[in-house]
Amino acid sequence: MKALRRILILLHFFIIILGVSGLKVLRNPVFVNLLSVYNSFTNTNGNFSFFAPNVGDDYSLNLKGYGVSKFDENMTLFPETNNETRLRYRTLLWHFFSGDKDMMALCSRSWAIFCMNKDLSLDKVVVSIYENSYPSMSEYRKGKRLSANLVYESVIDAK
Amino acid sequence: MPNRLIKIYNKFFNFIEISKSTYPLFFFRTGLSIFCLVKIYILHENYLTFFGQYGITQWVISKFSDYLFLPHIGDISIFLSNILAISTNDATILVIHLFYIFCGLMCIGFLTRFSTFVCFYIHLALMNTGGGIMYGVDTFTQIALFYALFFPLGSTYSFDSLIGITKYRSESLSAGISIRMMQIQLCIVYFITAVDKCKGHQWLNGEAMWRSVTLNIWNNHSFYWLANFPLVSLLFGYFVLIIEFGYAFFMWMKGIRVIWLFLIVSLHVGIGIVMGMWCFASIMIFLSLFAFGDDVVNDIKFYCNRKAAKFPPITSV
Repeated sequence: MKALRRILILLHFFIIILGVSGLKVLRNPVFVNLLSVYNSFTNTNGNFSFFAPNVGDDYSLNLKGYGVSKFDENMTLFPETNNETRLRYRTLLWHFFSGDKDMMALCSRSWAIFCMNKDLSLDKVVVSIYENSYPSMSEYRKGKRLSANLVYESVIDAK
Repeated sequence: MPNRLIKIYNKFFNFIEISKSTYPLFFFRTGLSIFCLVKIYILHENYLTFFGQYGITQWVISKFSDYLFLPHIGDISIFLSNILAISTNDATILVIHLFYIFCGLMCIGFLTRFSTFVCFYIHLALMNTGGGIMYGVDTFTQIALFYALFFPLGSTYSFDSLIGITKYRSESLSAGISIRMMQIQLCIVYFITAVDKCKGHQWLNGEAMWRSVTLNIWNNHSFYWLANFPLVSLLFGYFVLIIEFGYAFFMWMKGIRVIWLFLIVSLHVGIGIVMGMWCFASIMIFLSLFAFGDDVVNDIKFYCNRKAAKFPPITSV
């Protein structure tokens, strides 16, 4: 029992060190998969690089809904009931850009369907995502301000 | 070489396998269960938006994962809706209410191992279903729940020990191992975070702090005035790096860890105030208090006893 416990502890920390250090010691896809599965369950050997190495820009979402007799420019897909909810919606946009193009298309389609389910009169939703570009401190002192650039747009038709 | 390895191996396990008092495990069990409950309750107005079949990320998409064997709220809800003949939306709400119930059971320590497993399983399903809205707070909650599966949480001030399912222990080897595991995990996390921050240029020139507090996402306070005081931003950036790097070393040093625990708690309180990330701040403070709280209390007691011995009270003859 003692030996088994020791082996498990060593194995656990070995997996953590391998995972967090990003060392590609085990290039075999089987090992890579095993590490990934372990992380999916435990989260112990995942990525802990919060706000590192640099602090990136954030994003804002704009949804426009079109219907037979309706145009809604300020659709509130995300009811920000409290601070935590708001954080989670913004996290969604960060995750959105970490995925591949197919996943982006699926997600934006999913948001549009969510809007159409909420408002049955809509038959088209335009999903636009803007990247908020932040000035550096010296740029801010020189008068440069935050600017939003369109980085993703998708039109989803109900038909 | 093998002798050296055996020496390191023995040293490592002499360090890990120590007997410690079990009251930190009571703190861990109750704190974690209450935290899980509050964390999910905060989202109660949006359960179906986040985790529902037709939420912002519909089940057909969230099921599209690398690992199909991971639990998913959709699977559990469909199973429950079939056997209880209720809608999938009601089943989803039911799953979340089951999570509350098992958090409650875990809190009082009733069928502790089983209730902890159910909490772990449902939380994993919530993470897998609402993947896009998950951030650091969920990662650390899942880490804590994973460790909780193996910690002897039922052996201290629990309903289980009251009715004889487990035996009450005021001190145990497994409590010591549990605390050591969490201590090492946290040291690795803070160390790696600090190393990754140093890989970029922003943390070393003050820009990271400026950007961190001015991001639209927080929307709490205006910190644009910071642009006129770049030195303040630079110093705060270094302050964060020193605290995170130092955590891996100074938390092991008697006496100094009292100051370091205070610093790390202050850092997370700062994150809570400035960024409004109170859930994230709470779980990080909670984990540090669990991991090093007992050692810090002992350090303070030792310091007070030494002071008392140096200056004995004046007694009347």
